[in-house]
Parts: sequence; C-alpha cells; structure tokens
Amino acid sequence: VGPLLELMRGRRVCRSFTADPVGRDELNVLLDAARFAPSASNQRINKFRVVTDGDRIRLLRHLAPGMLGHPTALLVILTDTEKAAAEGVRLDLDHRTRWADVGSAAENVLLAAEALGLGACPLMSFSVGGVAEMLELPDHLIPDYIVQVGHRA
Amino acid sequence: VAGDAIVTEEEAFELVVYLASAAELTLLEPELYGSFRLVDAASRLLAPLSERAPASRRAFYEELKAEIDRRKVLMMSDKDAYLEFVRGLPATLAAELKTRAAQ
Repeated sequence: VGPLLELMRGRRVCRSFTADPVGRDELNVLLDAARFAPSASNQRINKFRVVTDGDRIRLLRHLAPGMLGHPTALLVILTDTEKAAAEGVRLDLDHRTRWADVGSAAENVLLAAEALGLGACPLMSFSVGGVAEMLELPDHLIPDYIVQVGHRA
Repeated sequence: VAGDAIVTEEEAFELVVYLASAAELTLLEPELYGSFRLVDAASRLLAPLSERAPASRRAFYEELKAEIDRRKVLMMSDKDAYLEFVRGLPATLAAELKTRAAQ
C-alpha cells in the first residue's frame, strides 16, 4: 500500500512539457492501466485512443481551451454508446455508470503516468463535437476525457 | 492579418476555432472560466505578436504574454489574486495605448 499511497500523494498536474516524445512502451503501460480500471458490472463501455501526431495535437489544442501546455501524447477516453446499449446501460438515465467508469480509467492513467515518471494533466475543457470531428470518430464513440501526457519540463 | 502579416490567416482562424470552442464550454463551466478563456485567448494572440511585431514592441508583447501565462492559472488556486490581476490588466494596457497615441 505504501508505494501506491506515495504515488497518490505525490502526483501533481503537469502543464509544462518538453518536446520529447512519450515512448511506445510507456504508452502501452498507460493503455493497460486504462483497460484494467474498474468497470460497473464489468460492462466495459469505454474505449481508448492514443494520439501522438504532433500536428494533430496542435490542431486539437484549438478545440480544447483547457489544454494550456503542449503535451506530446494524448490518451482519449471514449464512451461507446453502442456497447452501452448492448449491455443495457441507459446512458440517458444512468449518469453514474458512465462517469464512474471514465473517472476510474482516468485515475488509473494519471497514476500510471506518475509511476513512469511522466507528466500528465486531466483535460475536460474541450469541445466534444469538435474533438470527435478532428479524431474522425464514429458517432457511437464520445470523447469524454483526455489525459495529456509528456515529459515534465 | 493584412499588410505586414503579423498574424497569419491560419493563426487567426485557429484563434477563431479556440474562441468558438470556448464559447461552447462557457455554457457549462463555472462563471469565472469565461474570464479565464478570454485572458488565455489574449495570450494566444500575443504569441505571433511577440515573434513578428516591430522590434520596438516585441519586448512589451513578450513580457505581457509571460505575465498573463504566469498569472492566469491563479484562477485555479488563488481566486483573489486572479481577480486582482484581471482587474488591473486593462489599466496596464490603457497606459500602453496612451503611450502609443502620444507618439
């Protein structure tokens, strides 16, 4: 428990990143952390998208006023409305399942980034429609949360 | 945008995208974020000015941008300090406007 609590206590938001890219192995660790987050009734209504293309991140920055720094990677947490419907999750009535799952995945990613020595910052201040368009997401995938990742400046 | 092209068309359009996104967000966010987004937009516009304005004014733009970037984030940690900063900003800019008008 000790090391985990230390990670929790020591984690801080990072808004200033170097231009160094985040390694593929590190990104896979972050994705694993997201995938293994708790999920209500194990329904797994989230999907995850990693963005590392610098030009795409620069364009997304204009659609995401909350992106104050210049991260080199983004981990986008998506809610899959088709999967939710198939699992019987009523997203129109049940807000707790969706946001509990998104929050759990986000926290796992933030802590995993901290464990890897990376900087990370939550991002929810973005245009959902704008980001979906920029990422060319199908209609059933809703970008609910973005974790900005990079090396601390 | 025109003439000396201090701000390119692309940069201006990117700022339009930012402002439109912020306009949507401010429908949902706490009231103070409206002010924050405008101050952040000013910082974003100051970036090309800092790089391409006439040399005599670049230092002013650079310092203004640095000051905004340093103090805007107080909105999330020290509301009173943020309000003091925002309330004082127009007077700072007015002084610069007066100086330029007198030249």
